[in-house]
Amino acid sequence: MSYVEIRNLSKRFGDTPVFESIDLDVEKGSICVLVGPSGCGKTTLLRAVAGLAAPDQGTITIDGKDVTRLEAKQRGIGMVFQHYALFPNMSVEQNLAFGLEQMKLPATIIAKKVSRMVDLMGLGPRAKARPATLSGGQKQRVALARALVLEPKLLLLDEPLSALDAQIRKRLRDELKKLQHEMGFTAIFVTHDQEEALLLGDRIGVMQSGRFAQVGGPSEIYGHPATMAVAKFIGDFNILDPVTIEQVFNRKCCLNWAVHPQAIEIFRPIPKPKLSEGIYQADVQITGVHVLGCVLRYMVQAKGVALKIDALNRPNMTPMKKGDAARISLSAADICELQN
Amino acid sequence: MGLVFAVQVLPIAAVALNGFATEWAGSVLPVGYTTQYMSQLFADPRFTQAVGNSLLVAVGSLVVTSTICVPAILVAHCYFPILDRWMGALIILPYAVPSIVLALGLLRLYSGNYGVVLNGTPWVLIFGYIPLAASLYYVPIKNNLRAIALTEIFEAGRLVGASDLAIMRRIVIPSIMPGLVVGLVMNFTLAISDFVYANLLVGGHFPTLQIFIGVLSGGSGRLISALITAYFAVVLIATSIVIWATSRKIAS
Ligand SMILES: Nc1ncnc2c1ncn2[C@@H]1O[C@H](COP(=O)(O)OP(=O)(O)OP(=O)(O)O)[C@@H](O)[C@H]1O
Ligand SMILES: [Mg+2]
Repeated sequence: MSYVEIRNLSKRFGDTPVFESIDLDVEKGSICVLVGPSGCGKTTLLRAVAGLAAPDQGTITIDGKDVTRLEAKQRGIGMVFQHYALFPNMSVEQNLAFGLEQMKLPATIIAKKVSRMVDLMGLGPRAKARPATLSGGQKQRVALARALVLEPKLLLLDEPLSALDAQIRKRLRDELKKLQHEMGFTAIFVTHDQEEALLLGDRIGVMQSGRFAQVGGPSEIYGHPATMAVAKFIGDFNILDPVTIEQVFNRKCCLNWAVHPQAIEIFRPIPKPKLSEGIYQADVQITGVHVLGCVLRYMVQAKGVALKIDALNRPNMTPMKKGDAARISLSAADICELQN
Repeated sequence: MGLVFAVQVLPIAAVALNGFATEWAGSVLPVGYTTQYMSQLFADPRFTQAVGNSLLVAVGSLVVTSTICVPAILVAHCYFPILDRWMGALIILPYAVPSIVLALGLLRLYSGNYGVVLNGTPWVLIFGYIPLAASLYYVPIKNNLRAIALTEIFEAGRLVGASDLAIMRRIVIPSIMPGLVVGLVMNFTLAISDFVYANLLVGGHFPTLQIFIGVLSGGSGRLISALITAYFAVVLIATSIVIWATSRKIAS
């Protein structure tokens, strides 16, 4: 039995279902990341778990206790909102203390817990500041601290980093991962960002129109996307339909392929290509070469089909040029066949 | 800025000077000064009674209107958005109908037809100001409410385990304090400077400052200047007290 169990959960607004019969398990001390296109129901699912929206059907169990019918304030769940939702009239410290005060803890214990959390989050210099005077990153830290200081059974994060610029986003993301290691909290994290999902998630659930297209660990999701939606979310795949596959590689098959750009090898054409079982080859024309730091991205055309190929950008290497003819090779083991 | 100051302050200063002048005609400033009219005024028992009456009505209406209107505005805004839209329209009604209609309506309402008899007592004024007061609270408080993300704050508050009442008391009300202070001050000045309703509703039964000013207006110009000066002083002091008291509450 998992720490958090969501079973058969459904929610509709009027006639339009948002999600239907969703099952999800989250292990204690792990982060489960939810990803998926806009409007697929991620926020609604989190709100149902938090008790801010009543599901129409199904159960939510946390630590063996059915919380489906409990009010939000009795669930012991913390939530971090995309737009922070800090209490505007209170200082950073008061924001953190407010929840503890509702638990009727002695003032000395509240002060101790608050100051420990303030230090842990690096908010010390701004402890007396009002939210309006904080930067975006600081506000998000306060929002996280406000939830964590109550030691929630489960922490819900709804795109907590998406309002921040790229650098702060990366830093907070790494800090969050570290914090989770140290404190061992259990969390469900919603994001649009695949890098964030792969880095933070112990498990990742890819949602599509109110259902899970695939749930798995990051390497499974990255290496073996099960459906087109998952492959599209991970991004950067070469996606080939059966007609194209036959055209380029002379193979008959009935499923779409997803191929990582770095799974394809590219080299200068050799007169007599060595053909072996499970290796597919094709002649291509290079239409573009981009230097992406440690990676060289070749854009190629194979019988009119555009492909992208990544090669390691070694020092002292002479890359092939635009317009060159080349040959590509692909191992069958690196092909992900997508179920529809 | 200087011009605004001049326009606003000069007439008051002139009235005040007039109240203290022995003779003022044909010169820029009065010929001499005296406190004769002031002391005459303060010696008049009708004046002290009028001040007392006015303060009683003003403070009474502040207490009554703020305990009725403010919670109504908050609850409508937070829980009944549909009702709230109606309230926005309803709130300007007392200003759209002529005062005489409203006054007659109030007189009918409080003359025993509906089991409440308040006519001729200060209560009819205190309760009569409620419809007028509502909009004076509504506009500034509403502005403050719109400026905060109320739904999110309630959700965030509930998630940290707070009851709605605690969220109201600790977060929402402190956030609307500036609007509340504006509302209180405006209502205070409304109650203390109102002549129309005071005259129509209670008239001579319960003379307020304004009614007293009306009584005196037939007499000496000096005396009435002294009265108006005193009246300004009362309003100024009382308004400062309201602002001071409420801003102290914010700081704590
Ligand atoms: N209160 C509501 N009333 C009616 N429909 C709603 C309500 N809230 C959400 N929806 C609908 O439910 C669907 C799912 O919304 P939700 O906010 O859960 O999506 P999301 O996955 O979080 O999207 P995003 O990534 O853009 O945040 C959307 O089609 C939305 O229009
Ligand atoms: Mg969302």
